[in-house]
Amino acid sequence: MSGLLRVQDLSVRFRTMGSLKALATGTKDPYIDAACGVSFDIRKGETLALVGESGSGKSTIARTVIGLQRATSGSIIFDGQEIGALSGSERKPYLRRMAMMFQDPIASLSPRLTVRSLLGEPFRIHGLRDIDAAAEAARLLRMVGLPEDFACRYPHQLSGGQARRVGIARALALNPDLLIADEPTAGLDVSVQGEVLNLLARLQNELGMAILIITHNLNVVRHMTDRMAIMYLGRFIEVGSTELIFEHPRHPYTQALLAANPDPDPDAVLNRIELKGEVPSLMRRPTGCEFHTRCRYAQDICRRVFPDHSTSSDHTEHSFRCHFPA
Amino acid sequence: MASVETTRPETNVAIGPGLQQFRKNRLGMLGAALVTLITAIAIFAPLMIMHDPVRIMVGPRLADPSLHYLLGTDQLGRDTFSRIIMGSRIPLLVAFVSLGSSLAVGLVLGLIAGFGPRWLDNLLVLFFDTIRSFPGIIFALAMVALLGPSLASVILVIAITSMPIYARVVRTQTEALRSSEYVAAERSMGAGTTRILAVHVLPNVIGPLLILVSMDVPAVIAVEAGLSFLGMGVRPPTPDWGAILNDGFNYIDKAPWLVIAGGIPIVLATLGFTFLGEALREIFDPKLRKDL
Amino acid sequence: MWLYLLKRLALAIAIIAIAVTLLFLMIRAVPGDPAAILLGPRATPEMKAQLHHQMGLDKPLVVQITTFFGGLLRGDLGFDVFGQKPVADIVFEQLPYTIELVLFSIFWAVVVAVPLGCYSAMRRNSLVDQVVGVVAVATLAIPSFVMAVYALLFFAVTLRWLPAIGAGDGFWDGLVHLILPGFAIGIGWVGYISRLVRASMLEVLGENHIRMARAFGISEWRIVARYAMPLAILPTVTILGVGIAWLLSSAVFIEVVFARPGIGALIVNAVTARNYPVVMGAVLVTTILIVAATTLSDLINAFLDPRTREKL
Repeated sequence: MSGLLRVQDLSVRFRTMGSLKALATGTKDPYIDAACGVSFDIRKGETLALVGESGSGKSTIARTVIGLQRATSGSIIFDGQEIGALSGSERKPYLRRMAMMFQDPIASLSPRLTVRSLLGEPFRIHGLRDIDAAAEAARLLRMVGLPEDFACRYPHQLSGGQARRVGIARALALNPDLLIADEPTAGLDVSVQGEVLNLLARLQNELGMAILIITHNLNVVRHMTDRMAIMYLGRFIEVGSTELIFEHPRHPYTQALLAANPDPDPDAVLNRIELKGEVPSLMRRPTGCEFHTRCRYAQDICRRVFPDHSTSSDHTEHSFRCHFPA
Repeated sequence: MASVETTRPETNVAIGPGLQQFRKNRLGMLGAALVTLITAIAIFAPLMIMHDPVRIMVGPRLADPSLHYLLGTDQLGRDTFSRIIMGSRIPLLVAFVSLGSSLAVGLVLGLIAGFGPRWLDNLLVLFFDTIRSFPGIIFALAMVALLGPSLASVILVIAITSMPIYARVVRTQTEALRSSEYVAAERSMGAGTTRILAVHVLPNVIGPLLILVSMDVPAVIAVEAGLSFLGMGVRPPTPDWGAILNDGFNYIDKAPWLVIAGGIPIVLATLGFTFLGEALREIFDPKLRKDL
Repeated sequence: MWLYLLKRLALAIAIIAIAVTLLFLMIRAVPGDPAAILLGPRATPEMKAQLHHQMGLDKPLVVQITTFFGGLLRGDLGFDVFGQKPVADIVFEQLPYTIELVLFSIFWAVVVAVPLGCYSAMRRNSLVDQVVGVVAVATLAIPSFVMAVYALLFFAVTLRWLPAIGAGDGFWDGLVHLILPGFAIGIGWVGYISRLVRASMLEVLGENHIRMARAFGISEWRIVARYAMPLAILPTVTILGVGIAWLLSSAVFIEVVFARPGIGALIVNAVTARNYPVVMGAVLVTTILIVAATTLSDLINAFLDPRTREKL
């Protein structure tokens, strides 16, 4: 497998208030770093999960990769080409090869368009005029397992699961190399979640695209992905193969996350580690290891020194940021 | 788990059920009837008049209403009935042209403010607020004084003063849509700003805007009649309700039917359009407010 | 709150400054020489030149605007060459009449509308409520000048109960002269305010502390008067600030119809005579009044409802 997307040292910084307000409230640093020095790559046909609590910066990374958000620093290399600094029109050919699905399945469909027009959008946007829109819509609906007469419906006439399928169909219309799925199961009933995940897995098998899944649902991660990255306050704290991390999580935060997730295996030993306290504000990052405020193993060094990435001795692809890894 | 199945709060777009609701709204039906009547009169006016509305001395001066002069005659001996009938054209023309152009300009500026860079937005909003702070009819009078009283001046003044409200409404809605997920989805597919504005924002903004405009029609009719009443609107001898009211006002003790005849069409027209506009708003966009 | 206050005041000043500049440029952009219009067709070039100099028209535009702004800060609105008087004197001579009329109209409208709105809210969907609702929309729609002409025709010309023209002399005569004009302006506000009070009253009546009072067996009227009314009136107060533009517009027509002195009559006369300095001065003063009123009502609003502060 060869590299498709390589993200290096990516940081995204937001301004939180106007300069006048900053002056009035005495805030010297009116910025937050939603993503901070993030690096990862995705190989062709591979599935990578970004995992973390809400506000940890998962969605920001996805939006930056697709170009909805500008990176403050760092590089985004897609198929050997730096695309982080491209303008809208320069980026367009690359957007044909990647697609993103957004969290709310219904709200991400333009409300006044029929499903047929919605499915035709990618073709029209990329100037593929000589394509039979009706036939394409029918093909895509078949592909995601929806009846063809859905082409005449409007988004508000769809259920969440149906809208999600339409979203998948639209994202895959141009046969992209990379699919970014932001919480693909959010807001769906559990039975529908399973169907959607199975559909995604089947389509990945057939079409061979790579998938970047953003989720906080660890069951999704476990059953869908090859590798995973755990985020905390905009940084990666642990990256590695999904299997390995589930088996042997090294960072205390990962341990706590995995422990909090109800394990489908009834024989698993119940070993719950609870997270104490609240997620710190991005405005006031803790010193040293940023997790120390909630970590049960925190020592003096954790409060002072920011831990570097270390790698597992037997698996060089498994890295984590912790002074006292398990 | 939160259900996504429930319909999202959004403007009611379905025309069929809306029409049924409208039939039940008695005031709305009355308004629609009045508006239809006035529009029909304006269109077929030349077929309905009994005398030439601008020719003087078709009868005696200030004659009482009679079978020959249904609403009497004015101080120049012109037939009031014919003048009222022909006078229906000016208010409708003014409303149509001024609100139409103000709608177009407001829409474009509102889209720019809502979708453009922040500094441009601030600048445009400041501009809208400045125009909105001009004192209504007083500002209109000053403008008409500068441009010279004429139909074109009246239209221009009304267009300028009604534009900022439309622009602000469009801006607010555009801004909300700008951060919506479906606009983000379109952008992630590579859609350019023009395409997003034309295909995905405009259709969602135009509905409430049209209702807002329809609710402004009575106000425009009132301003047009008012300016003509003050002698700052259409030039004589053009027949116009406000001008007729003004003619009658000067002879209020000798010929009261002139002011009665001049005022009633203004009342009926403003009431008709108000009832219609209120009904449309109630049905299609109950939350819509002018004070945005 | 302080930051909001500061920003809102800065915005108000910016709006006034832009408005003044726009007005100034508009007057200058008009084809035709204001001096020539003032002097009439038989003026000699020397007379025109002298008047030009007197009005400051011979200086560059930037200097004219700067001079005008400087004067404005000192309360100087320019000089009325026609009447040989400072414009500010003329405007402030007429302004009290208009303010008196506007205050009187809004006063009686509030006095009638608030109980009416409370009653409508208490007896929601009763016959009275529905009739008031329709009449409110209707009176709002009918232009004030038509209302004024009809009121004049009926009460002054036909019945001869009330005086038709002028502002009267002395307190009582003045009050009698205010009745018809005040009626024509206020009637639309009765409908508007009563609907506003009804809406906010309904909102307040649904709140917990009111239900609590009801549970204690306090009479409905007492609940409305004692507990709900103060809360329900607040939105009305802030609407009045925004409504001043509308009030002033009606006042223009009413002053003309009833031949009352006032800012509206002043402007209509000045416009007819093409007396630009006076037109400009009167428009300016009313603009400043409106900006001041909207700013004040925004500030009251922000004080009462912290959410609105975020919007600026």
